[in-house]
Amino acid sequence: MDLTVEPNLHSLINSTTHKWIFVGGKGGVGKTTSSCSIAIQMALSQPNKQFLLISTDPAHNLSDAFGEKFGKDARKVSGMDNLSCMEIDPSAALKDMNDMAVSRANSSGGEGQGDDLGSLLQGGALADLTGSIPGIDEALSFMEVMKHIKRQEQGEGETFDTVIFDTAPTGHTLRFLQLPNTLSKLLEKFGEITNKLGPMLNSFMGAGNVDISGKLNELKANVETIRQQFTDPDLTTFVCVCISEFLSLYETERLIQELISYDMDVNSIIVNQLLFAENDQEHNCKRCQARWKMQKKYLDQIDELYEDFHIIKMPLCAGEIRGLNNLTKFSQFLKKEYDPAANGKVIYELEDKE
Amino acid sequence: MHWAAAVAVFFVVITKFLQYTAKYHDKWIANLAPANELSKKYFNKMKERHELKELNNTISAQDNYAKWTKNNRKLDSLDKEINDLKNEIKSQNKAFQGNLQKLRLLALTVPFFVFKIVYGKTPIYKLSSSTSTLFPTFVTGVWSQGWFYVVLHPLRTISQRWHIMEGKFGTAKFDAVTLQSVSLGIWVWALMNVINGIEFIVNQLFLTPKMGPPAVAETQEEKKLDVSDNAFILD
Repeated sequence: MDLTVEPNLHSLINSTTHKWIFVGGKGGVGKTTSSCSIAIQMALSQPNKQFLLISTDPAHNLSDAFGEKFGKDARKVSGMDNLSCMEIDPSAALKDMNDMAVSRANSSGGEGQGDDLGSLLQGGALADLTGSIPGIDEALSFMEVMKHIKRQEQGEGETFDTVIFDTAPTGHTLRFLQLPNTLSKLLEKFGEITNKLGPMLNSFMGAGNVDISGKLNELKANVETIRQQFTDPDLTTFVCVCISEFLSLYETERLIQELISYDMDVNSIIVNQLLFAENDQEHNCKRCQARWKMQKKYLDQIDELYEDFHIIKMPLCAGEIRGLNNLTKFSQFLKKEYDPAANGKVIYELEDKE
Repeated sequence: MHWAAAVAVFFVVITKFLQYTAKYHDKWIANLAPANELSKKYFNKMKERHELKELNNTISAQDNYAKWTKNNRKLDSLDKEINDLKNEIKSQNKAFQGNLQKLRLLALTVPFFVFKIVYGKTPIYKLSSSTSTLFPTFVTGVWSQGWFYVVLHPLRTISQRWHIMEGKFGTAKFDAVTLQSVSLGIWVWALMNVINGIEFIVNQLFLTPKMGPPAVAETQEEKKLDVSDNAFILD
C-alpha cells in the first residue's frame, strides 16, 4: 500500500463534508491568492453547492484580488454562480450595532433613561468607543461565524455549504481561533454569577426586560457548537501558506504546533513563490538560480519534516495573479500539482489586470 | 522548679526554636524527604533537555532545518513533561508540608493548649504576704486564677450579693493562701511577654539595619547681583 501523501489539494477541493476552511500564514506569502484559488476550485468542482469566501484580515484584499468591490454583505463573484465573497468591516458592523442600540433605547425610553442612552449613543459613539479596541476584528469575524451557523440551523436567508476564511497574519488568526475556548470559560463564569444573582441582574436592565441568563445560555450553546465544529477534522481544516524561506517556515512550524494544541486539523501546506529555475532555461538568471537553490534546500527539509502533510508547491508567476481568469488559471495547480516541464508556460500567460 | 513550669518552658523553647529557624525549614524538609522516583525522573529529564539544547545549538537552523525543528519539537515536549513533573513534585511537597503542619499541631500546639487549660490554675510559686497585699484583690485574683477571673468576678459578685444562681460561678472570695500564688497560665503569659520584649529590643538594637541620614534637596545659591557701576556700554 502506497502511503505517500498527494502533493495537491484534490481531496479537500472535492470534499463534501468540510464546512470551514481556514487559509493562513505569515504576511505576504500569498494567503489571499491561495484562499481565492481554493474557493474557485471548490466552486468549479462542486457546482451544486454554495461557497462563501470571508476575509477576516482588517487590511482586506479580496476586492483587489478579484478586481471588484465586496462589502460586509455576501455578494456573488462576477462570472461565478456559486461563489460569494464578504469583507467584514468592523466600523460598519459597529455602526449597525450602534444604530440598533439607539433605536432600542429610543423606543423603550422616552422618560429620562431612554433619552439619555439614546443621546449618548447618537452619532456612532459606540462604534467610536469600541472600534479601535485590539481584537475587535477577530471578535466581529467570530460573530459573523455565529450568525452564519444560526442562519443555517434556522434555515433563514442565504446559506452556504462551505466557508473559506482568508485570515489575517498568524497572530491575529490564532487569537481568533482561541475565542471559542476563551468565550466558553468567560461564559461559564458569567453563568455562575447569574445563577447566584438571578433576577437582580434582570432588574438592573430596567424596562428592556432582557433575560440575561437566557441570552448567556444561548450564546454559550452557540460558542460550544462552534468549538465542536472547529475541532472536528471532517468539518474544519487549516491550510497553511508559506514561502520557502527560513522565517516563513519557522512561523509555519509555530502555527502548526499552536493549531495542534487547539485540536484543529492541519494537514496541508502550500509553498508559494517557487522559482523552479532549473526547468526554465529560457528565462533564467544568476539570481534566480541562487534563489532557487536556497528554496530547494528548504523544500527538501519541508518534505522531511512534514511527511504526512499535503505539500503543494506553487510557482512564482511572471505577473500579478489578479482577476477571476488569472486566479482560475493559477488555482488549477492546487488540484493537480504543478509540473514545471509541462506547465511552465502558464506562468507567463497571465493577463495584465489594470 | 515546679514540674508544670518545666513542661511549659519545654513547650515554649520548642515553639521559639521553630519560630527562629523558620527560614531553614524548607531546606531541612528537602534534605529529610527521601529522593523519590519523581525527583529522579525530574533530574533525568532536565539532564536530557540540557544535552538536547546543547546539541541543537551546534546545528545550523538554516542548513539543517528539519533536524533543528525536530529537536525543537522534542525540547517543547520535554519542557511540558518537566513542567508537569515540577507541578507534581510541588504538590507532593505541599502534601508533605501539610502533614508536617498537622504533626506540629498534634504534637506541639494542641498538647500545649490542653496543658494550659488543664493545669492553668496550678500555683507555680507563692508571693510573700507583703507583696500580695500591695495589690488589689482583683489583680491577685487574676494572678492566681488566670484571665477567666476577669470574666467570672463580676458574675460571682452579683450572684453573691443578690443571691442569684449562687454557687454557679464558684466562690467569690478566695482564701488568702490561694490569692498569694501565681498560676501557671499567668506565669506562661508573663514569660512569653518577657521573651517577646527581649526579642523586640535585640531586633531593634542589633538586627535592624541602620538608616542613613535624610536626603537633602540641593538648593542653588542665589546669585547676588552687585551693581557697583552706573555706566553702561552701547553696542
